[in-house]
Amino acid sequence: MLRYAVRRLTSALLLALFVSFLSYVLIYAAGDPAVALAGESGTAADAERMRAAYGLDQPIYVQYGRWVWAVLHGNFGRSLYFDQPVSTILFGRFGITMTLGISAIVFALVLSLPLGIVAARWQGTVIDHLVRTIAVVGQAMPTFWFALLLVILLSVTYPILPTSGSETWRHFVMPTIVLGYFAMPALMRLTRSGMIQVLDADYIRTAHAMGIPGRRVLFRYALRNAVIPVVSLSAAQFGYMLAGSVVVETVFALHGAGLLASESIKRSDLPTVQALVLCFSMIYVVLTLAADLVNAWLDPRMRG
Amino acid sequence: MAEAARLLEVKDLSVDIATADGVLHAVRNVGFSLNRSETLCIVGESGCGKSLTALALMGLQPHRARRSASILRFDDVDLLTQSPKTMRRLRGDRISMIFQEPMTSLNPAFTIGDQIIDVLRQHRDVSTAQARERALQLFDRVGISAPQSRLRQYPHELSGGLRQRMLIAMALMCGPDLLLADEPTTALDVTIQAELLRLLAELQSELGMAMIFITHDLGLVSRIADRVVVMYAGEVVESAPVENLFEDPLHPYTQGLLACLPVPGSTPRMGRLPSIPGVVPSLIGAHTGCSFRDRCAFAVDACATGEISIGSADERHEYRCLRTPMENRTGRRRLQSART
Amino acid sequence: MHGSIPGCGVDPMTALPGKLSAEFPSRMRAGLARFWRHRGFVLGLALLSVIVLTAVLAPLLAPHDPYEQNLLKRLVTPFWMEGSDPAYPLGTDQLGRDLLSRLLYGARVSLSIGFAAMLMSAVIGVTLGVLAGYFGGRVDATISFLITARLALPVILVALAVVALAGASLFIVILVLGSLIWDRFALVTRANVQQLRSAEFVTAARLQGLSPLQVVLREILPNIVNNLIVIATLEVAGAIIFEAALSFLGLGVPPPLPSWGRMVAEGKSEILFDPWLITIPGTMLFVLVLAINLVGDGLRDITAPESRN
Repeated sequence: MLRYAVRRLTSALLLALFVSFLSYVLIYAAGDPAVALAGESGTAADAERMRAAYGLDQPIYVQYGRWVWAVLHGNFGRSLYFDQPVSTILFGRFGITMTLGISAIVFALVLSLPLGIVAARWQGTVIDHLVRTIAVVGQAMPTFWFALLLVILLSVTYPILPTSGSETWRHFVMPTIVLGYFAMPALMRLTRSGMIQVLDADYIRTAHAMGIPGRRVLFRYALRNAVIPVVSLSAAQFGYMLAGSVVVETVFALHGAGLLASESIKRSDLPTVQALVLCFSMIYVVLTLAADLVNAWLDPRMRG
Repeated sequence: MAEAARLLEVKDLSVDIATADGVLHAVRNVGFSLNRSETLCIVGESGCGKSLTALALMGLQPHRARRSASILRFDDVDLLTQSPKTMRRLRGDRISMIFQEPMTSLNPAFTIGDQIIDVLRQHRDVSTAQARERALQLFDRVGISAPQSRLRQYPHELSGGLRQRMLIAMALMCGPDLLLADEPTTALDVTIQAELLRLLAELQSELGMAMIFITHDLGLVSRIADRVVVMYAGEVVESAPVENLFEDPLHPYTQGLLACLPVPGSTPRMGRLPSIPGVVPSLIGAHTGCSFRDRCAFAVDACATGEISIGSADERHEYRCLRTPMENRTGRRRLQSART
Repeated sequence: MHGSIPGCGVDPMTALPGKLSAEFPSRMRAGLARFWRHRGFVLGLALLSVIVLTAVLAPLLAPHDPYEQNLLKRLVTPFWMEGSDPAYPLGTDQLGRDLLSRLLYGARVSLSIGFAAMLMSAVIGVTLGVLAGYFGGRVDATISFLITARLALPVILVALAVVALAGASLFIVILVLGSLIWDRFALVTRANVQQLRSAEFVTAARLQGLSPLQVVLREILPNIVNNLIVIATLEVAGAIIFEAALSFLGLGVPPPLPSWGRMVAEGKSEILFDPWLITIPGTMLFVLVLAINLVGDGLRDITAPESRN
């Protein structure tokens, strides 16, 4: 088990490194950052100054190497907009995004798992169709529209919840619902199909034949097997949700990492953008790694 | 046989499955009875409904299938009227079943110990330690080596033969009165087959347990059965004590099956083994006459109409055919001499 | 199964199982019946056809020029509310532009971006998937690593950044989307190609001396086309939502091109009193994506119900 973990950890690190390099290249390929830094009213001379000041005249791999070296020392550079170390800014912002993300995935799982199990158990009935409809509708809903709909419903028409800011738990209710609903369809479908497959298996027949009560068969013996792919998917969904938090945070004015990313991009605050891309991808990588390890624990066959 | 000794009584058991093409009559009016400590073998080719019959006894037939019977009695319990809860309580406790595929019949996400101990604890009020003790006892009895460590192992770490022994142990945890065994040795090596058969026979006499053994292998039947029921296309075509069946088969299908068995000494070497030509008829929709008529050497026009009911040759030997026992015996002898 | 030894049963008389003779016409009927049984698919197809049709016919159907501003007619309400103007059935926005016309032309934008981005990502994804699945080994390892890297990438952020730096335009948006959303194509193609690679007919083709390219084009791709069409359908929907999100955040299709996403963003400021500016384009997005998803799901159910997920 330990060797498996170490192996996965090393490949995860390599992956994160590669992703950050990729984003470096993509962003620099998109346009000249020196020009962007000089601003819309900047001249060619301004751009040259920017280039010299931020070492943008060096070859890409040198810039990237310097950046990685700094990152390994915990130095994410300095934000061009806030004129503070990026790491200080990131810390607070990620706190909000993570709170949002965790409550959203919990919300999604708390709803998706039971619904998926129920749909599988009563496959083909009205219940099943209802669950599948919820999933289909959820998949078609653009996040920002759902968010605004909720705002119209729960803040404008019936002023129950606040629309912006992040002071109290109430501020997180609508964002959690919106972001959670984003992850639900995939989770519901996977739980359902996984359960259907498992319920058809020989070992479930054995459990019934040995007189194990139906509920125990479902929630202990079947679920443990069906949940394995759901764990991986949850981790991946959490990763997507973090990226999708951009939209939710924009609508609800939550000052999290997603909103910071969008704003920094518009402000050409490249050090911050680079740091954010790295952080988001690191989170995804760590999450999928954790999911793999949990899977290995859940499914003894995978430890080989 | 006195009624009181009858452990299991089945009459007119039918299983219908609704399909896109119509109703599939998978099991049709099957009937048999079983006494305590007796071994009944249900023989037939793939798809004749023997597995489904066993599942229907336990109430484990697939959701889409509908079961019906005029009598389905186990000891003093009427299986037809039991609530799902009481049926559930019977399963694994008084009636147990083992299946054909040991490789996939154990839950891969739990240890052997977890699974087998749970069976006892779901039926009896015992502690985990007590259940563990019983499991180890049974492991020992069914011939599992290093029983202590087995409890902590996962199914994928064990061979097929070992897994089947564990399933047998699991089935015996609560000391059932009846064991249903659906081709438990078909998927295993011949040597392991022999060992497991011997084990089952021993356990049976030790525990006074009745057994219904489903198989397509007549050789097995001759070794372990007290009574045999031959099924074809969802129906019982012949039912008799084992010696009677082998010495005096009355239904043309049974005769055909026996003729296909190689007999050391009499079957010519390098010769072709006879087979029964033709295919099993479709089980969908209404059915008239004898299902076997298209493959039967003795079929006449009357075989195609009406309902061929099961009749007795003598007290314990029944068969489903229009012809008299004498006619079928003569016919068989003629075929045999034509062959040699 | 005919006994050659005389006497063991009547041999040539074989009873064929049930229904072979009557089977052929009923098979065709059964195939069509399967399509109609999927009510979702039919509904989705109907909706999608209507939307595509109206998008194509937008110049004929739109009552006004979608770019025309009429500051005298700002924030006119849609027809089901009081104070509406029949000349502007769905109302107007803050700049007096007719919502219905913008909606119709916006459909063109959404559909064309969705389709174009899907095509580009399909080319990239399928190529990568084929290479990985067919050649295996190091090639597969490299490409799988690439795919995983793509999955780890926060695509919205990268898309935003690229559009910000390269300048927003229809072309850039399509390019960015197309180069980022190929992962599902790659994964599915890779898995399918791997499966088929060991199939007998593929081995036969290779033994005949066909080059890998020919084997792929002639033997493998035709067999996975079904799955790819399902993925393609779903990716169109995904691309449409992606573009809408980018436009909503201000870094998508540039103004004054009518994009439903940006219409929602522009309507945000009027959320208190004129929420229809948000609900109408948003609903259209929802309906379009729903229709495409229903079609995609239906196609998946019809062609390969085992892969339902």
